Amino acid sequence: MKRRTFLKIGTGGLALPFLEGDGWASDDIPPFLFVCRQANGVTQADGAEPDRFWPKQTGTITQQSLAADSDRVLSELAPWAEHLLICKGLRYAFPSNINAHLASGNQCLTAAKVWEEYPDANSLAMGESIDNYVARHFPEHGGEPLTLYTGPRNGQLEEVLSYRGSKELRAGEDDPWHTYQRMLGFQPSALDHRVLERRSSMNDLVLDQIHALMNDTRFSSADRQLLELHFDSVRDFERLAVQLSEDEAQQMALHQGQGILDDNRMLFARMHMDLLALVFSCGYTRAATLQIGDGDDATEYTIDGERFPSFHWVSHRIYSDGEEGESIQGAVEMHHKIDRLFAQTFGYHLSRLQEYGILDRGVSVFCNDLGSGVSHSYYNVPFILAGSANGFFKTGQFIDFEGIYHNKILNTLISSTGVRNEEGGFIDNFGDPSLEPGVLETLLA
Amino acid sequence: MMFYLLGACSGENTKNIEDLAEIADFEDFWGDTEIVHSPRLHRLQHEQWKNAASSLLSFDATSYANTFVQQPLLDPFSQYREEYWVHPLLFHNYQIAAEQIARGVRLESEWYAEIVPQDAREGGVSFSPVWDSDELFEEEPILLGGESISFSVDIPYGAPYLFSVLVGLEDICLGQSALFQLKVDGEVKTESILNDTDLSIRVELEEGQSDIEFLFVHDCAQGFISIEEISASGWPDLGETRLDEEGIRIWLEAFTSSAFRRDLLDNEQEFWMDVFEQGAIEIASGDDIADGVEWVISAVLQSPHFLYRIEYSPDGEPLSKAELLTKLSFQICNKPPDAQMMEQIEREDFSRMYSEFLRDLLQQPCTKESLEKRHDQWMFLSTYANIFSEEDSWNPELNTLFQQEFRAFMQQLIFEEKGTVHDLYTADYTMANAEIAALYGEEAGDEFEKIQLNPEQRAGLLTMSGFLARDSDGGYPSPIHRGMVINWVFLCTELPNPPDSVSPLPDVEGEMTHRELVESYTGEGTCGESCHSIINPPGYALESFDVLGRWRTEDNGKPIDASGTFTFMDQGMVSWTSSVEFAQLLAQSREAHQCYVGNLFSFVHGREVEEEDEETIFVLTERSMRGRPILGLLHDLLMSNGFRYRGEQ
Repeated sequence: MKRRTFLKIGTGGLALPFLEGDGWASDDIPPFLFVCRQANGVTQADGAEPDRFWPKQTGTITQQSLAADSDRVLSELAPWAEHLLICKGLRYAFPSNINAHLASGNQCLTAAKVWEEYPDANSLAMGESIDNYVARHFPEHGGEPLTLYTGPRNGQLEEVLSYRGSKELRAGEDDPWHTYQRMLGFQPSALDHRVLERRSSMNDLVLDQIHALMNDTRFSSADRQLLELHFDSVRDFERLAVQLSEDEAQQMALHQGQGILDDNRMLFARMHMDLLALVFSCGYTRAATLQIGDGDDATEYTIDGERFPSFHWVSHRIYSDGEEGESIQGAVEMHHKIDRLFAQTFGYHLSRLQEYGILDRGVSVFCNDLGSGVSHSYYNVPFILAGSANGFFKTGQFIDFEGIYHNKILNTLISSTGVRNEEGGFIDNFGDPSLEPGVLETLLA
Repeated sequence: MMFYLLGACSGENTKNIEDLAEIADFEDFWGDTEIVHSPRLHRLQHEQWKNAASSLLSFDATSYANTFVQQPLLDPFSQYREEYWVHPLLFHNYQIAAEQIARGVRLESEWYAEIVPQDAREGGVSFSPVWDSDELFEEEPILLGGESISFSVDIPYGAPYLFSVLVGLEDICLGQSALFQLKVDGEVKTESILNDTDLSIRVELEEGQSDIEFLFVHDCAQGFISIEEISASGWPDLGETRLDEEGIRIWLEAFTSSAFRRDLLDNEQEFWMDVFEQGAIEIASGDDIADGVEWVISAVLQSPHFLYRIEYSPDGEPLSKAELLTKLSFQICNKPPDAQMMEQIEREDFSRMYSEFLRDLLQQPCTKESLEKRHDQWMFLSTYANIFSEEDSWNPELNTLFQQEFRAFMQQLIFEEKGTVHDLYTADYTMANAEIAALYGEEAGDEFEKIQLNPEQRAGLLTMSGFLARDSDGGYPSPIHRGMVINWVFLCTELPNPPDSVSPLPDVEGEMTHRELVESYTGEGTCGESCHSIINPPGYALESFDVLGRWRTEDNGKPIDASGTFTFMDQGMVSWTSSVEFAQLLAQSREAHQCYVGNLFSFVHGREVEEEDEETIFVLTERSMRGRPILGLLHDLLMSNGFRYRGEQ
């Protein structure tokens, strides 16, 4: 019997999300959900600006077809073409009267209306986010999503993505080293590999005893399954402790507290991703988000040796956070290069998942607060899905939904993790009750 | 199938707990009632883990158990075994708790002496000096990147030491990382990252004079730091050990058999001796015995033999005496059997001893606490916290009092009055303080006390204020909600789920009573008739009580109508005209007794009632209907073959 079928939770019939004991790439790994968020829109068609983001043709995509569109950002993801679902034509439902960046970030994973406050230009989502929704359906995994963040700490306009409930914004974890230590139960600042070595020896003692019990013929198959679960739990968690290499751990430790620096933005994103691959492999949590940059990402990215102005300014094409300012020469090209940097970073995440053999054991989403930066458009907000979630999605497609509200893709993403409603059907009513329910059937296998 | 019904259960209402001893001869008691096959493995619940760890190591393990990931609570009687397995996070919780507890024993010499009395040592020392920078250095040390400070210290004994450095930071360094290295006698021993203003570095030091040097490696953006205070603490030198190999074996056998609630097997003795010896290699503090003790304690707390209650006895045979006592103690009291009890295990009159032990256990506070939790779940008592009313008499504190009333009533009825299931639904008293008593039109003091109620108006649980207030709907008592709970909780009626979209009832208009409104939307001729003909009548029986459970005689100017009809299993169609009459009918019904007995069975066995348990449930239901006290029913279940034997595969 597989672990996922051994126990059921409630009437929802959720499958329990654990690895089988025999390896990383078991067919029985239940799906995880990960969302990586970029701010400030992408370089797609917007006014006089041409599309430099989407592939040129909808329909089936292949490595060759994506790579052939080399002038488009998403060509960066060509190596993973058959694992992708590129979704265009999705839009946010609720306009903003104050701060389009925050209001869009707030809606991104909630599909909820936005509460806006004068005069602070602050806003909050009035509903739960999908990462929270999924994670709390798996209490045996802590019931909480992992909320990761890399960006400045100025005290305002920071996290926008993860919500416990209406107006309950969840703070992100800046530092992968602290996150890793918390998972292992170390005190901060202790980098003690001797503890890990001792635990490994202790785990062997535990495993020996469990194994001996499993071989005791007096125990029924149900008893043995209980022991098998325990056995696998020891091994799964041991993997979390030993799979992060000493180099990776050292890199995290030495950069502790430096995630606020612009130059470290993508380094921290990648370190978070190193940890995420491990986290999903051992079932530490079932849902995670990574927000790169603050609410209106003002990072000064350095690409090809050139330090760009604030990304937010670049997205406006002027040296200003507002509507008036001196033009930035080459701003569109800069934005395009930043888009590519984000796509490459998302590609790094996919490569880490592939190393663990779990790319298709869940779904990873590369999304954006906005459709495009100049107009702050809520139309054509990119949702790039990677991974079939154990065959739930029919990947290798580029689909244009031509302007539907994005709550349906959130319903679909939740359902991909195995969460079902009381009747056993897909979750189709997430988000604001005024939105039309449903899932995106064309994405399904 | 043959049943052996004893005299005590054959009609007379047995009210004396002493009479329970009459059925001590349990070898023949349950005859050949079928025994359902049960699992051999039962993972300890968190409460059980806490009590087992506390008992084993003579301390309060609550703070550790409180950090464990919580189990999902999915069912009123959700202590079911299949939900209790060791998932990765819980394994990690166990591991960290084991490591910290074992290290704690190791570092506190008095605790160590209590846990390893064979190795109580004398002459131990500990080294925990604190140096102000003024004492160590002529000037307050200010360090730029690449600079260091050094000082000499006399180390009294070789051990792992933790150096803590309090660092003063200039603004430019805040939020940045800074790397320190610790050198001993010129050799880099370890390095550590500065976290806020506290730097912690662990290092192993030899006995004697050592030169300690702190090197500020990282310049944190050209900033500088100051060293304000340095402290060091080493593991205590416990002194010379008194333990030889024979002593180690004696301690190991005593400790592990206590932890596993059974004697060790021969091969296990060697296994744990190896574990002990491994400690010196893994921890390597130089004190091999203390290392072995720490390692064994950590290993035992992570062992499946500690984390599970395991039954090894052959299928179809009685549980071993140790297994039976362990099962009894964990299932009823959430704790392992005490040492005194386990010492009695070899007595020839074990049957009588078990009966005495059981009788004693049923009166212990842990049984009362344990039963209280189960009844809380049964009654969904936590939902009382959500009661809201616009009545002037209501305030949020009243919700807590409602809960206290229910708990005090159950304690009084079960343990003081030796009450029956029949009494649950017919008692003419409750437990109340002044505020609760006022709802009944009675008086009481500040503390909860037993008060008599008007027997024409009140009868047990059905007319209790909290229950009536919880199942009200806005400004009106809700016969639908009240009726559903009576059916679902008290009668174990399986009701279908309500339709997906049910609109709330409109407000009452004109001269209509609320009952008439409910009837017009759910009664005869409506689409909800089939279900509501079962749900509504028991709710209508409570129409005499308002949203806070106070007696009322009118609704919207019309006299209250609490009459109704309902079909019970044995009685067939019955009618009543008042709440008390309905309560009497319910208390006499087979459904009510069978339902309560089934819940009690689940509590004792930690699983749902299965088809094969039908005979046991039938026997106990019969006894309950003939007036067996609830404690007697619990006693019978714990004496039953199903509890004391392993079932056949």
